[in-house]
Amino acid sequence: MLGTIIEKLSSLLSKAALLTSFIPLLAFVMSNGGLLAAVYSPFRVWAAAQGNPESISAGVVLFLVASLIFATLNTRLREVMEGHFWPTKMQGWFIAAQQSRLDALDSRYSQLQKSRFEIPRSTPNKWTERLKAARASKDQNVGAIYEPRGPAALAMRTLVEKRRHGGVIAAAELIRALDLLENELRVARVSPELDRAQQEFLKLIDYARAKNDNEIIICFNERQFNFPGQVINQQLNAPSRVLAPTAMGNVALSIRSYGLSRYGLDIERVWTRLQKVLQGEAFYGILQDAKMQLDFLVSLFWLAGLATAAWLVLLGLFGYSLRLYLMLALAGSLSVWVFYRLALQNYRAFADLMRSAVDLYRLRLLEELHLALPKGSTEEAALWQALQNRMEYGKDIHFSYRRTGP
Amino acid sequence: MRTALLVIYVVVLAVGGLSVYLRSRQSFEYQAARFLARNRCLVAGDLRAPDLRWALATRLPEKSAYVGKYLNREVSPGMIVERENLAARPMLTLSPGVEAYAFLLRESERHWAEILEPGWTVDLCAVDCPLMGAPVLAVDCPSAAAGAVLLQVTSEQKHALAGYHAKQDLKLVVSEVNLGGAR
Repeated sequence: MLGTIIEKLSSLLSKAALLTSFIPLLAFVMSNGGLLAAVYSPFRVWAAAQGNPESISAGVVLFLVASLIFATLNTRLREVMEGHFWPTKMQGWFIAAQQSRLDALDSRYSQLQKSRFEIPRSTPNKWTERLKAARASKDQNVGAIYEPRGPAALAMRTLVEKRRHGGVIAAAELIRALDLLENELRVARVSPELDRAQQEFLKLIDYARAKNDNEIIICFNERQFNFPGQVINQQLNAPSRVLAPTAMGNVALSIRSYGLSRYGLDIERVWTRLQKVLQGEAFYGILQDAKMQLDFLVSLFWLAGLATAAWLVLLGLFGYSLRLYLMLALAGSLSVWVFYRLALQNYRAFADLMRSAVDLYRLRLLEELHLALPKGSTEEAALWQALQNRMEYGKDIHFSYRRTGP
Repeated sequence: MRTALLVIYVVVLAVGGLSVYLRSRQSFEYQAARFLARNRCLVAGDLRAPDLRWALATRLPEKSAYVGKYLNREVSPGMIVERENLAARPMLTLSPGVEAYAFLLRESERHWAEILEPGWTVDLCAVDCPLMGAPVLAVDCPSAAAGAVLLQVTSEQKHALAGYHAKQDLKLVVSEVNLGGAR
């Protein structure tokens, strides 16, 4: 019965509306209706009496209208998740939190870069030479022994453990261990333990370098995909970065800042025209699929949030089962969190596709507008700026058109 | 910011949880819709559900948990029907000199299972009445496969019934009704 209804409706609704609105809403209505029937006997009695064809038809039509309305709300709901329409004060609190996240990321990135410059890039290097020299210069105190519990051994053990667990080893940690080991090599008799420590240190340098390089890429990508980059503020002629109050909002801003910082292209202004260029391309299908997945998860997030909030309020006011209340509080909160994280993850993938669309199709847009392709990146940025100023603000800027055809 | 929001959320949840906990200590029970005699077999109409218009997840058992069971004490109208006062069979406490007599209801007499109440008194009559004024001890549930009425009889009455010549023609006649109040 349900399968047949869905099949019939799928021919009336677009694939996007079916997936992003109808199915989430259906799941929402059925699960909450079932739960309400289980906990509220008057509703159970009422629902049992609604089996006649007229009631079912009315329900289906009502549901269809509701799902179409819900489909139109999806964009607004996503914008709320991005931080639009929030009270200014609240935006400020959340932006401060996002700024702290970004600062922490920037600080980590700087530390990693500092380590990158300090850790030797090749072997042999100045650190291995220092150890070799220290080992060679030990005649004075041949009686001293390398203490397995001494500071050098301890520092080495800490670093080895870090490597074993895949941790990042900072240059400063390596330098500290180097100083201690160098001292041991200078004063202590060469024992198998000391020899092994020296060999281990060489491995640690290689590991720390590789791990650090990898972390730099991860950190850079995290910054790139999660936050808007700096763009030149035209009025101030200075770099500026505007943050959104939420992680999702910042992913959205990263799309715009990418186009602006790389090509001087403002995706928000030219998106509709770029969409025309994309249509008919296989890439557009991939982009639409990614958008559908995102909208689907946005719908699930809001419906789960709404249901959880409604149930917690209702049970808080009229409920008699603590177990049910706790179960809903836990399962509802968890599902809202999971849907948000999944939506965020999908937004990142979608944003990457949008950036790719800018990379791949922006010049095709110029062709569609019958404009000559720029010779280089500087000329391109100037061209986009001029074009946007003419299209958006009607500024009197002259363009020569490229003739096509005979 | 995230921690602050989380703390607020947990506090709101805790307040809600406390309110639910305090409410969950109240229990919902069915009340007797009318006077229910001891050893009465309960039917759905005997039970009046509490007001559940503003109550969610009340743990009120289904009526089926009560229906078909025998009360081991009488319950006045409006009083709570407690599940611990229900038994699968009627509980007979016979005083010395009396015994129980099972009068099987014929198919045409099965309506008596819905009408008769323990505590009423009945006569069994054909041409004449060999048994008069016998108290009803219990009645099989109307849903039971074979219906019988358990009557309290003396040894003499039982003996008279055993020797009665038109036993198969005996019919049940209500002689006295107990409605839980004045008779």
